[in-house]
Amino acid sequence: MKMLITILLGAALVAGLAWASPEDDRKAFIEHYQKRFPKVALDDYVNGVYAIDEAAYEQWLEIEEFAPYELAMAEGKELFETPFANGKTYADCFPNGGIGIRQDYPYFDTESGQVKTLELEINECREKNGEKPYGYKKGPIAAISAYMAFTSRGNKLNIVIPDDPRALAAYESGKEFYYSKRGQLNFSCADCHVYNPGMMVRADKLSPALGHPTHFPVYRSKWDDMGTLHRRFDGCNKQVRAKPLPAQGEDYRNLEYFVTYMSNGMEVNGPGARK
Amino acid sequence: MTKQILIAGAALLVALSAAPAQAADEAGYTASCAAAEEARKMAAELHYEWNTVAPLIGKAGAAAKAGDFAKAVKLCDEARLQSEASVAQAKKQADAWRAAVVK
Repeated sequence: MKMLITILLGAALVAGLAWASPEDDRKAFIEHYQKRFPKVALDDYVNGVYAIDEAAYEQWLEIEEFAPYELAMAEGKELFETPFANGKTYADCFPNGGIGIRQDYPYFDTESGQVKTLELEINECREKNGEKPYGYKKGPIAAISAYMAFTSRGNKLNIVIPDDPRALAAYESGKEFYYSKRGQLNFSCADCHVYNPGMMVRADKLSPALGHPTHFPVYRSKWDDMGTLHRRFDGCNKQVRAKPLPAQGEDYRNLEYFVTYMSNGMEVNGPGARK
Repeated sequence: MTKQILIAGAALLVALSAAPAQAADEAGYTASCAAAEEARKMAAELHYEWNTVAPLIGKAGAAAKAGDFAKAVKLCDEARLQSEASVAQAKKQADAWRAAVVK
């Protein structure tokens, strides 16, 4: 019996030492990038790959002068303000009338036990008010999300992991997804965006993961269109030859929870323009 | 006339001798693609399906439709092997991902 207690205590101690809290993870994440790119200021990571590529940064500044996402943003504002058939609007569904709230998404909803993203709640709002949901990757949902992000510019990401084992499990699930190799090419998200940012994949420079979620949704020249973060997850999975999982499915929502937590405290600067 | 009968007879012989082989190939295709589909489903359940697999199974179906069962079997075998590799990948990553976490 005494031996059993000793073993159990030992196992608990080892487990305790091995377990890293989300905040430990975030600090280690930041330190990793600061070691890799010592000249890049922490605040600059919100600019994605342009934080580590001076020439591309100059070109990007010029693109931003006539930002390609502006049309979508104007469309998003109009959609956001247009009442549903029942007379209600998106403002009725969100805190603070939906203005300046992007930084609080995704969050863990203790009632449903699920991670809620902004795009998920946009569609929930539509359905609650008798409207059909939008597709999750592009089109009107990206436009509305772009407008809502714009109203939140400058606010700092404030992703909370409540004291609820289900919330921690969702975070850990997203973390597992992020670091797991998948697809025929056997690449994880981290292989490109943690361990190889700055390296070239054909003609493209890999961007650092730190700051990734601050600027979504984005207008990508490659798409000639706006897209949500889950559209990008979809594209990344395809690039490593994995079959993408459903946008706003549990896997991608948990992934967004983890990725966004890693950028906690960074300023929202979406929508963005990317190559 | 005799020549025509001989040619027709030879053609019939060829057709008769080929028929059992074709039937075997079709059965082989059915078995091979059922195994590929089962492996694909297993990978999909683990959320680890590769996007290269469904096109292989699709091409196999087209080959079978065109009567090229040998090609169809080859494509289905490739699809099964890829799905088995993705299942192995899922099983390995269930633990291996921890070693990659930034510390």
